[in-house]
Amino acid sequence: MAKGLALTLVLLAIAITYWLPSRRLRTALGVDHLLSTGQAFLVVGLLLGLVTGERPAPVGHDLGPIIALASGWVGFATGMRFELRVLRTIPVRALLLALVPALGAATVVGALGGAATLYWNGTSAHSWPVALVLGAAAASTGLTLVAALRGRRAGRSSPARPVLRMIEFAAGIGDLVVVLLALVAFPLFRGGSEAVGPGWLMVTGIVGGAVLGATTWLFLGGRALENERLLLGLAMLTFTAGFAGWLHLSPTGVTAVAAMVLANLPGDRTVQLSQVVRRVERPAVVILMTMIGFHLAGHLTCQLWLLLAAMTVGRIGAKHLSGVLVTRIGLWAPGLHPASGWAQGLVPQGILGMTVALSFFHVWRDDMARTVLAAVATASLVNELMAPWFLLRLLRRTSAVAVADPSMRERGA
Amino acid sequence: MSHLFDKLVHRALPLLLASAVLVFLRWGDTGVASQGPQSTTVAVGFLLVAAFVGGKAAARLNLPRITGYLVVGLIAGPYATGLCTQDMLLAGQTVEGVAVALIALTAGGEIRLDWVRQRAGPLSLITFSELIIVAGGVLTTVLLAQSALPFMPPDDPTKATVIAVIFGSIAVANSPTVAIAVIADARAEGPVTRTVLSVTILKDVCVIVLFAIALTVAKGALGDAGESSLALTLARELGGSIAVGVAFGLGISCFLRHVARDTPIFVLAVCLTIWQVSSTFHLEELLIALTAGFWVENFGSARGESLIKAIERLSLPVYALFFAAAGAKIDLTTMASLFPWALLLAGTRALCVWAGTAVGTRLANAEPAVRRYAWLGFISQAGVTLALSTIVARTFPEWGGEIQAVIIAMIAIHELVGPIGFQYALRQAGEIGRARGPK
Repeated sequence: MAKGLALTLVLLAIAITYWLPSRRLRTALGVDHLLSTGQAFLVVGLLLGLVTGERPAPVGHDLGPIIALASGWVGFATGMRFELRVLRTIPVRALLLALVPALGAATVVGALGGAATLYWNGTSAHSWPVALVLGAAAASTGLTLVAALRGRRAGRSSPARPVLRMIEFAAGIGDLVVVLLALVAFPLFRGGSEAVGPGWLMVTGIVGGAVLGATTWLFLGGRALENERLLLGLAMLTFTAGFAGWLHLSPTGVTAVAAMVLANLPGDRTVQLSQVVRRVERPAVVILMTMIGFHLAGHLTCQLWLLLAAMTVGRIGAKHLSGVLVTRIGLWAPGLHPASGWAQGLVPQGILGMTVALSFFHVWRDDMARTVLAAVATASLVNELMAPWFLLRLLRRTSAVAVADPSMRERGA
Repeated sequence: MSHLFDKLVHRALPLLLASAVLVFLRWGDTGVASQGPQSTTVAVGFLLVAAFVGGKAAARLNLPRITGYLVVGLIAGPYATGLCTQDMLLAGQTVEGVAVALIALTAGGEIRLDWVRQRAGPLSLITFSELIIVAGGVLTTVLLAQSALPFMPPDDPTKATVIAVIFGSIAVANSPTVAIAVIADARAEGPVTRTVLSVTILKDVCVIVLFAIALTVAKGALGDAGESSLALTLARELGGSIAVGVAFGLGISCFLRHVARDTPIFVLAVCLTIWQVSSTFHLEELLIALTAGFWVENFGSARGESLIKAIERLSLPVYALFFAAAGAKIDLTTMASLFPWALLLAGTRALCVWAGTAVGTRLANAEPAVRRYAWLGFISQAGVTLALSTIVARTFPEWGGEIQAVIIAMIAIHELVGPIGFQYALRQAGEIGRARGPK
């Protein structure tokens, strides 16, 4: 009964945190930014995990469908942003420019994490998946802060706008890297005990996602009321996430493929679905953050500190250095401005990479997987706390340079 | 022709593709087929799309969509094609819990105090005559036919009477879930709609009391009585449920007044909490949600329209999933073996419902349409009856399982026939499509 009461209180805390009415109170508590990005729910989830204490395996299993659906939701929302007709208009140089920081961070963090796991466990069977999951988490960038800055004075100035656009563009391309790594990583996780090989699973994930995306498109084309169309779209999203979960693939990756196919098929059948998916993305993020926090209550290995360092210092350093490198080469495209140190704007971690780490934990369910999840989650909190400082510094510096160099102002305009 | 082509390309073909993917997952030799709850997500997605298509097809045949949802669930369920297994339908429990709360919340929001005050006398008369005639009629039939019924003990009159009392009290129940879903689907409004809804809800409260009395008496007669008295059980279940319902009502009102953001998500969270609270503290979920909805509508500081609007946005997927999952539970083998007895009892019940409504509406001097058609709205049985049958099986483990199987077979008949009958009644009464608001 006492546990039940405590659980109810924690659930009440989640509800109050989600619907906290007073913005002034949130600001006064200093949690406004962390509530917007959802990181505050990590703490609430951890609290929930500590309250429930030792959990039998079925509890974790029962959460599987919720996690698959919420991860699939985030993947779907991400995938729907990639329209080929828009991507085709972007010069290859700009794509490379945006791609390098994500690839750099994924490589450095993945290598560090993989090497640490190899050193600790002495087997490459663990180190490969850890490297890929950490790589995916490192490539991911959150945009909540950038969106918030766009509405403030610091983000509205003409020198700031192209920098923010550059960050948003790079974050979008970074999401592609996350999806790709998720699609590759999950089939590689399994050993030789299954009837089919990793290649087969990889193809199944991609082709299955594409077929289900096309199926959703067919459903959305029929004569139906808007709410019925919506029901069909969301039902297919659920089905796709479940398909991935069944095969122990990444729901985020597979639903992202389905959404990419759906977004690029002809017609405007997805407008309302896309709006609803984005509108409900926040509750999905809250659920995911709470679930991540919930799973952190348990045994962690001492590898955590090294992985955490890789996900914070290593990730920020890799993104910054890759950004500096591409800027030095002189790559830039109209409308995008790689200001000096622009990749510092890519510090916020976002939810996409975390969903990959969470699904990884749900497939593997051991202390090592929990440690990886804990490193990614804690790093996201640290990165999110540091991000405002990095971003504001970047914008201030850009404005100062623009004052000194009028040609830059013109470029921004 | 183009309409048929549209249906083929945009409904049949994608459903076929989704079914093919499910067949591949279920029977494909991948070696990674998940037997755990991961597969629940697939089942939920599949049942939603299939139920939607089934509901549309049923509507084309002038049948309630609910019938389509049920038939689709039946076909996809473990007892027919086996596309969805018992394991995969694990989420059905959660959906059931949320759906019952959502439906009762809607029903509570529909009851206006001034209307109840005006019609209290006639509604009580109809409810009372139904209770007496249906419970008495079914009880008598079971006792009279006991030598022919295979589940009746031939040499234990006490046990036979207890079983008859249980059948009698369970026969009174009908399904507010189905009634509300058919009304919402048909956008019906009028005297038959309001009478069926109100009497169904009143009967539901009475059934809970009646069943608790019947069970306590039965346990006493068979020497299984526990420590808690009848009065205490009733006070806890009814009083506790109403008190918790008022608390939820206050919370919802507070939310609607001060926050009113992401209301559908809030409603979903409330329904989930109501379900959890009721199962943890052994309270009546239906009564809690009903009281909460009633409180918001009649005593809340904020108007209940936004709540109803939020519920309406959720109702299509929740109903589709709830009824498809209910259809999937229909065990065709058991139903076939017990069909003659279930049919006999269902027929007797239908006759008693007709007689009870006829007497009640005549005494209440109800409108002609109510007198003629309202009884068809009282045929359906679903969630509550199922829950009561589970309690019987749990309370009397030696013979309760057999009784439960008969009741489930009866529910299957009522589930399939009830919505069709009620929609027919609404159509004949000219009440379909008369509700306010856009479809």
